[in-house]
Amino acid sequence: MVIASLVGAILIAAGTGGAAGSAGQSVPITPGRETPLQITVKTPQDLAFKTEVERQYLILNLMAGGRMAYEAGDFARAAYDWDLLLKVPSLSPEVARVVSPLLAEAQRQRGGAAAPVATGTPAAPAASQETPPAAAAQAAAPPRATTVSGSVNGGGAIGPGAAVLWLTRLDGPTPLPHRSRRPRVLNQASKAFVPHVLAVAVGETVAFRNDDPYFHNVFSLSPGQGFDTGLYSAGGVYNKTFTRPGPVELLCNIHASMVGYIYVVNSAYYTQPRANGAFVIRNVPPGSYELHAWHESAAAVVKQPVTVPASGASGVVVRIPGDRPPMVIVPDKYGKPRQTQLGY
Amino acid sequence: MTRSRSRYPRFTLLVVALAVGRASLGGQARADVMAAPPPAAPDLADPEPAEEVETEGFVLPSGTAVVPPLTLMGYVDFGFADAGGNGTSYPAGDNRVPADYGVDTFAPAVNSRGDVASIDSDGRVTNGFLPRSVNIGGRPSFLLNVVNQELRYQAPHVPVMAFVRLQVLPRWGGDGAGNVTPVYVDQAFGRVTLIEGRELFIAGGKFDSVFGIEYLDNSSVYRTGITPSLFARYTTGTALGTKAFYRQQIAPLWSALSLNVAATNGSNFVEALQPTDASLTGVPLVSARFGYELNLPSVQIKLGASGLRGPRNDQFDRRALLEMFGFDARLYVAGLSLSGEYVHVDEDEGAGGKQTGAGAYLIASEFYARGFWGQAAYALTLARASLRAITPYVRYERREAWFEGFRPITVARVTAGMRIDLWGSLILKGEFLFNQEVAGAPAVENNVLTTSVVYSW
Amino acid sequence: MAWTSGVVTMGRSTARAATLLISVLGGCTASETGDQAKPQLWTLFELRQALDSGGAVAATGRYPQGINPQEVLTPVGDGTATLRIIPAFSEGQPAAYVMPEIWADFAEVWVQPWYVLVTAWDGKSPTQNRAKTSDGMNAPPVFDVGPRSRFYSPLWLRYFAVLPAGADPAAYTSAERIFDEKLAVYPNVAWTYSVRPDDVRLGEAPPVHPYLQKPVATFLVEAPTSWVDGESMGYFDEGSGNFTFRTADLVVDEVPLYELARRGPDGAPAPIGAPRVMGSGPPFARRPADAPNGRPRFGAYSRITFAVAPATSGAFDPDAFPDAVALLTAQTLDPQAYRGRVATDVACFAAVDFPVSCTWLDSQSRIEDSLGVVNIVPTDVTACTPLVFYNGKAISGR
Repeated sequence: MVIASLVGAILIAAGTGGAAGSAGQSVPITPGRETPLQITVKTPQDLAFKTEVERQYLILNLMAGGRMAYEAGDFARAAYDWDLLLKVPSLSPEVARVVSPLLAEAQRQRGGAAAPVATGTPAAPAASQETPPAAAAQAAAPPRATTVSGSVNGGGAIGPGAAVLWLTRLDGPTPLPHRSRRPRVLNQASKAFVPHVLAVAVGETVAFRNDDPYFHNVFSLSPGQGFDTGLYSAGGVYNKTFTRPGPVELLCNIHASMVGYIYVVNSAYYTQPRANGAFVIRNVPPGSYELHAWHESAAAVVKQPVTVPASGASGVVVRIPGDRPPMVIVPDKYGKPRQTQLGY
Repeated sequence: MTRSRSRYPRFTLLVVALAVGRASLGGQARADVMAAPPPAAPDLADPEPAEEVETEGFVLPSGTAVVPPLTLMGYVDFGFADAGGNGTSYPAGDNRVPADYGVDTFAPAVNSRGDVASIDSDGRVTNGFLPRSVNIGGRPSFLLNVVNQELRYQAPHVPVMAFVRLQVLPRWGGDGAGNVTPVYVDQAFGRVTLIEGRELFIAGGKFDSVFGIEYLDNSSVYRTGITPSLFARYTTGTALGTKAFYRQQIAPLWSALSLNVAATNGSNFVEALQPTDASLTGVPLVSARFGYELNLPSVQIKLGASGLRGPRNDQFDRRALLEMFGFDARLYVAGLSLSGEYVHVDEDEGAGGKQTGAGAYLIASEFYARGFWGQAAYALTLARASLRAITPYVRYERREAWFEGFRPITVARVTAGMRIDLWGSLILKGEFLFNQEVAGAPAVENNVLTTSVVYSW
Repeated sequence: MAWTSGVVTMGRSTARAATLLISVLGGCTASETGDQAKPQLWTLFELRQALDSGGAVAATGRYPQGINPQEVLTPVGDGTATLRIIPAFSEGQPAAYVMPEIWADFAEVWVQPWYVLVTAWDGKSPTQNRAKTSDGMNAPPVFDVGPRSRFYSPLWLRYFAVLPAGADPAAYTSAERIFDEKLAVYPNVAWTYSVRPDDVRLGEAPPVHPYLQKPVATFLVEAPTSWVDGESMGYFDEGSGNFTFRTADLVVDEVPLYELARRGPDGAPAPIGAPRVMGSGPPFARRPADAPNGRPRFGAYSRITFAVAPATSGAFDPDAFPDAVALLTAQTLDPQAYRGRVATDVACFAAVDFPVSCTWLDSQSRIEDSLGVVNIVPTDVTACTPLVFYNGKAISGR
């Protein structure tokens, strides 16, 4: 049976030829990429061992091969490898979390839709006699998405509406969020950032637009998120793509009273609540999740487990502790503290 | 069999083999990669919304301020200091009068206010060239240097800001004087933004100097190190009057020009050297700084020229002038900051006696001082919740000064130390001052080792 | 030695040029005088210049007539000037003093340190180990606060500074070096020295009392040089132990130097022009003069104080009262010892029991007893007035 399946797979692979994407390019072969491994199989235990070894070997090669392709500029190959990696059974969530944003970036760099996964992918092995038809049907059908809703409490004077919430799966990889092709807009108006808090997907671009009749100079000193728009006058726009998840504290080098936030999320399941704290996260498949909540008045991201049944989860309450003191000494874009009473 | 030129058959084959192999094992959970892919993210091919949603995100409700209108800030500066010798710059056995004219009494500074370990002249007459003292002499001691409380009120929807800084200074008053705790109104002023969107302010009240740049560090929280320079006594005092500030941004050049002008009762000398809250001559002093900034993304350069002129406010004669000028420069790049200042002071002989913040003295002597300071610091920023930054620094300064009838004295100082920022509200500093009498003043043991712990809120 | 302030002038011109813009903005300096008088000091340098230019010095609100420089210095035809011996009375006897320094509007003055270089310390005879220069002369003394400073004081506390073995005294020209090398320093006694310009001398002949024509103290000498903060200056030695001071703060004790006067039409004291009377202690202290062995421990620092005498008072002029002179001579009294002495009533000059019948104003106690506190008016002028003649004769010793 195994041999027949392998032969069939080979035929399919030969028939489909090269996969989508640029042809002719190949990644240099490195030791260890050759599979299957030369492991003697004499017993079912040997087979099980070899299977698992090859599985781990596959994961390694897909991870490393994709990276090498990425660094070589072969984004299509990198996207293919990583996409395939995420389909490996029982893949560690840690691996999925590490690879997912890289896959997204490779896909963005490649442009267009992802390579059809069907290439080289055999049809469901209906010949398998060990797979119950019902189980196969169930396994083949994606679960119905549902919602997670609730409310955010706390948040101090700013209010609960300034929170950003997102879910990460505990029982599998968390998909990356949809990225808008058009920049998200964050205005500077009346010497304030509008909106005050904006959640964006990892890889999205934010357009900082000056709607004031005078100069602004937006910057951030957040670790790993630093940027500086420089001076730009009324009507000017500065675009910045955020590729790293986490908070981005926005300040203005001219107007020390201006403070805003961008939170870069790397989960498809995110939202910002209403001003009263009510929130809904949509399109959430049933499963086991961890709910994260960030707020500028909290010293750390609030985390709590959430189980999402097929009917969805409601009434989730998130409490924001006000344990982060407001920023009183505002730095300039070089990190030096500013005495705001001076005005300069 | 030739190696296929197809790109991906090998791994695809392996994945398939894995899937098939697992199936053939029997009894094992079959998480077929193809059959149970991870939940799909929304397809990138999905159509975009027709319009940009510009009001998405959280918008502050009307009337909500990110920074509350009324802000209370402050800090406690606590430290430990050990000054050499007897804590003064007076040499043993020196009986020249006045005691403070032949030495630099400000040299053995122990804290950010420039207070010194001692000014005890052993009874000899002094003539008002004295800093404030913590009266510890040469005895190492813990010190509560300052309890600083600031209040800032920014009126909502009105371009007016009010600011008050109070400093409480617990001190031992010296032999027989007991504990004394003066409370200084260091600053109290209102500021009005004249034209919306323009960096044009006017302020009235008691405020920081506009001369030079060292007043910007005139606080334990803001100063990189602990002690001020040998010239801070001339440039970092607060004065009562009015001032105006204007800055013009020049975006194409990443630059800005600024002008800071003040008319005040007194000069920028510190409180111990002059009365700060009244005019003794009836004529204000005028001071100003003209500055240029280059604000590149990673490099900042600031240059400035300052001047001051008017009747010296430690005596009553309008004709006795104080004139000062100075130049300053700062460079910031990749955590490294270089700063320096040259200061030139000339004071005419005054009529009558001298009035200082400490009392009345016999003669308002003719005086001059020249010199410079330069500092290098490197801020190693750490992205940790607790340890935020480590900043080693070093400063060199040199001052030549002369009181009428006395020999000019030249002193120099090397200051080295380290600053550690923790949790954004706690600062630890340690510093050593190596004071050197280069010429004109007797060599004395007046080096200082001092530390400072600043907790701010 | 010329008196200049060149260093200060150069520095200030630079400052003025650099602050031109500020001067335009701040050009609202008025010409009004200050509310307070400025403490001033005249040393022999200033007095020499004032002698040439004419005009009184130390004219203050309370002493409007000031002091004529010719009272202090006598011009000599060769362009120099000599220190004048000024006649006075003290404790009822002729006295004389010199006045090398005058202060106006000084509440107090201090002793300054004066260092004498020795090669070794001998507590019993400190001067026997005086350091010598290469020509065998005593090494000049050293001090730092010179006449350019208004903190200069001719009232010194002398110290002996012990040089290291083999050290060259010529290298020690300022107190700074004494401190830098941490030389052993031993305090000695109070002493009066006054720095002088080269063209102010004592004169060729030994100085004498101008009336009595008797020699004054031999300690009054003209010394060639001292080191004043690295600068060489001549000085006068005016004797030791002729003042006291508070050891706590080194402030010199003052005594009154009475200027006899009458009330003018405006009620203000108008000096009679008679020799002044040197007090011996604080006003109305009623204590005996501290003058062991005829050496007064007072007088080097005094405050000019008006003693307003009655309208009938006057100074005795032997030339105008020959009968009175005859009476004095008959009593073997020197008439010149009474020249200028003021009595409360000039009628007594013609009395047959002259001089006994006169109420003389020739001592502190008599002035205070006769005139009362109302008529004792201190001025704001003080002076260095070391006595060189006391109790009718030269002060002995050094």
